[in-house]
Amino acid sequence: MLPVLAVAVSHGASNEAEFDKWFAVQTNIQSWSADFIQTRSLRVLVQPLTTPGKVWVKPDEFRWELGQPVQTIVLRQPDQLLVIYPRLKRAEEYPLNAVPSGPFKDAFALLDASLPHDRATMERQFHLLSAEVTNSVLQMTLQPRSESGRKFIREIIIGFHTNDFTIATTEMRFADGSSLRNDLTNVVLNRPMDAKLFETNLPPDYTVAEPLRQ
Amino acid sequence: MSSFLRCWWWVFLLVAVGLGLWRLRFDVDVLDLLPPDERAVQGLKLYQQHFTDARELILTMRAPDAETAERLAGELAHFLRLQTNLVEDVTWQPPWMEHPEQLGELLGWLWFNQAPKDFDTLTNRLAADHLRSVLEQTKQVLATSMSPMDLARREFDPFDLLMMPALTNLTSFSGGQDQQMFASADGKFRVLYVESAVDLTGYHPCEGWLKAIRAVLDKLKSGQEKGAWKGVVVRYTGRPVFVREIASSMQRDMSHSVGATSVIIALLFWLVHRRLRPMLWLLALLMLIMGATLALGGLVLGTISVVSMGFAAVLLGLAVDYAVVHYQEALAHPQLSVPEIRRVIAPSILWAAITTTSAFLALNCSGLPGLGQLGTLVAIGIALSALVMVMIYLPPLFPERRKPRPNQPPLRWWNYFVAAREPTANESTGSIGHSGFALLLTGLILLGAGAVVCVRRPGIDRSGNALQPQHGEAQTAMEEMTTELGLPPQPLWLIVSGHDESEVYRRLTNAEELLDAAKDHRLIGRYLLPAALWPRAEYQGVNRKTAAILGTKGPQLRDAALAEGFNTNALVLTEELVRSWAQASDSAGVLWPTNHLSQWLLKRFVARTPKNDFVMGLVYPATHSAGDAALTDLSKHLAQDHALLSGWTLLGEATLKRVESRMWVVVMPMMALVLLSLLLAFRRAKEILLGGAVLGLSVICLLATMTLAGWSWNLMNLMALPLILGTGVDYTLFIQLALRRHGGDLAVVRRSVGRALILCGGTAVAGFGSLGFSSNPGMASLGRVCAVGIGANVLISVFLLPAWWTLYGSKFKVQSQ
Repeated sequence: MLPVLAVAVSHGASNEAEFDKWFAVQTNIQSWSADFIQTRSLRVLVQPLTTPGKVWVKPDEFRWELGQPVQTIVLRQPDQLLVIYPRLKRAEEYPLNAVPSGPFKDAFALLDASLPHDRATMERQFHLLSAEVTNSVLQMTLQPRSESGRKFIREIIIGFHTNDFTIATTEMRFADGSSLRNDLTNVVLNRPMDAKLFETNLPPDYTVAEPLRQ
Repeated sequence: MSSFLRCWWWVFLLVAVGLGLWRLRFDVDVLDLLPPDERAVQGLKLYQQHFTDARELILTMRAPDAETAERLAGELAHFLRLQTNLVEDVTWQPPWMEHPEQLGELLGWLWFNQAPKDFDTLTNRLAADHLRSVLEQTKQVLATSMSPMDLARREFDPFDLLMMPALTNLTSFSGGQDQQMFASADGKFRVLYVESAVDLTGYHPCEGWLKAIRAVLDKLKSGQEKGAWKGVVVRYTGRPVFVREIASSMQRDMSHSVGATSVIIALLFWLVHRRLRPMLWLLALLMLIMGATLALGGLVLGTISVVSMGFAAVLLGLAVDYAVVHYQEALAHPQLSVPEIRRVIAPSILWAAITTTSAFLALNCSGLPGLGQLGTLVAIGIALSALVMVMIYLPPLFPERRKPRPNQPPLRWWNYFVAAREPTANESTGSIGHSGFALLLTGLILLGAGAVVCVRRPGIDRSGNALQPQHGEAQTAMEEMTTELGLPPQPLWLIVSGHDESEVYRRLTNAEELLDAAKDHRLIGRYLLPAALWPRAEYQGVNRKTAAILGTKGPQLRDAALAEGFNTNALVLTEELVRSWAQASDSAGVLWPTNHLSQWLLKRFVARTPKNDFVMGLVYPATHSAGDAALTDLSKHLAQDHALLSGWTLLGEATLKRVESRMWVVVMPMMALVLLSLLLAFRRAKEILLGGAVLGLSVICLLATMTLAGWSWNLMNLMALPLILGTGVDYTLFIQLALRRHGGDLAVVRRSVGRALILCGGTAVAGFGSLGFSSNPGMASLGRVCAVGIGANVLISVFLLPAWWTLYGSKFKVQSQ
């Protein structure tokens, strides 16, 4: 019994160390980009839905493009989150300072924190529930600390490659049983990015809505 | 008068009192105080009658954090639902979160109300060969959308049936109320709507039911979760709480003001006379008069507004005067028998009673029925007091002086009205030294008060604040709820009525046109009218055929969705919609949705009675609007087609206008009456002028006091002016008639009538002053203004008037010589 326990403890300790290393690597990353496959498992569908996409990330900003051709663009700017639907010529603005306190704000905070830069920031928002290595990918399962946050997002999973510490997967498991998983490939670190990627530049014929102010 | 007739007078009075008691009813509705023909009042009444659920209690809960608030609100709702003998239902979160399947009926009904060409498009959208592409589109949205609303909706609406014009309006009409009606943005503040299982029309059922609900809550709070409730604040509001508060504040007002005034009367009487028997006899008669007045009020008016119950304290304060003057005269002239005293004092009492009664009756012309009721009650009481005090008060106190002396001339009925002509030879025997001081004081008062009034005069409060209930728990909780839920404060309500759905719809669209124009002119900021949600009888008639086709689509839609990878969870709403169409195709007449969720939602803006249908919209005045006058004008135009715009702000302006316009109708006859009574009582220009001067100086003092105290005129206290004229004239009557009787002997006058008037004035000020603590702000302001005006009146009459009278009398004599 004792040897099994000792192995488990040492294994847990090594995962913690790996996780710390991953954070250490994050501090040296100024930007990264990747391709991904997004898989949405919904409780009303028998089979999950998959969509390819691309992501560009730099501190406090990111751009997710979903679909080929692009169906949805999510643009995180320092002061707002913009969701653009090019096909529908529609955009939704979510000013980050206008998000009212409560579950919505918690959910936004969780989305932000799901791509953490440092461990302290992450631990303010999440408990570390478990860590396990599968196919050289360390998967950390995190649980939102706030009860109202858990009403939306039950768990967040972050997986990274143990060899180069690049991100491999992110997954959000929602309270209703559905989930949204991104499997990332072709991760490129610290390569200069076109600043226009993070600019809004909406064509004039787009309809812009602010759902939080309705 | 024969003893037989005298006896029958009292029997007649007793029968009237008995009938009055049998007829007497109380009304707790503050709106019944207001003119029923005023549009804003009619609108507010309709709003209260049809859109504030008489059986709905609103519980607000504030907890230290959002999680606790939500958990405890849920637990409280669950616990209350178990009390089936008390509670019919509790809604603590949007009903569609607890019963999403019930949305189907409402949405199906909304589709059924659409224009036939729009409803017909559904047959194409749901045609067998289109279903696959519709479902693929849905899957595309579910795979790529980042909008939480889109994702939530399309998961349970694979055929995109919620996409219809009316639904946009529904969302805006509910003002985002899905969650906003139940929780604050930070989640720490929650609201629960509790529907009573018992009828709560009256005060006593409300009182009992609320007590039982409080007991249930206390039980829950002291149960296993006792710790969790620490720091949680629960408040109560809603119509049952308002009814209980208004009625209980009436009881409190009545008991406190009557109690306080009675104590002051007893105290003053004791201080002046130090005799127990006359004091107790006086209090007993006053209570008898008050009861009889209420009963006679019931006979005349039937239903009495609780706010008018402030009459009691005013009546006590005024009625006591007649006894006190009588008693003082009896003490000052021990040689006179009771009939002789009656002969001497009755004219002053009766003329004073007539002017006071007239002043209070004039309140019926104020345009405010509640104030009119108060006036009528006081007038009845004053008349009764004059009768009772003249006939009954003295005999038991002076049994040895009851019979007329043998040589005394018989007392005729006109002797009660006409003052005896007294000799005037030694009119100016007053102390010159004292007169000088009094004149100096007069000059100083005139200068001081005049200066204040010249610099600034009291303003006019044009709001409806004087009519609104004072801050109690219900109002505090309601205001907290408005703030916490981010609801716009004080919107105006637009209530459109009609005999049937078609008539209401026509009027609704007409109102919409007027409101659009008002919005363009920036008179209003925005408005919300549920026109798109109102059933269209003509559309429903045509849509029945299409509904019959759509009502058979259930199995086809189900098979298509399952084939595309959806499971049965995704089809609950669709199947309900299809079922509602099948039912709609079989319906006759205008169809309304019937399930719990639909009823809960519709009752916020729709009310239906066997004779009329009502619909309510909200109008938000512009932040920098053209003013209330322009809104009143808009309300006039809207009312031409049975759309009543109403709200407390509009009500204040409209009612004040009415009171102002009637002011002169009340004040001018009042002044004429005062002059007439002075003329009949004195029949001398000097005394009439001096009487007028007392009233004029009192009004200047009142204005100065109001300015210094920061009070303003409002639609209720404006009516203090005729009251001060009508009651204030009494003091000049008593003093000048006494001066005449005692040949201008100031010492005797002060000892007899002066002393009595200080006592009378004190009690009158106490009576009106205690009204100043009324829970109704308008009545309270009326009480305060009257107390100051009458206080000034009595002080000027007792301390300054005799000096004026002496001085004027000397000059008069010198000139006439």
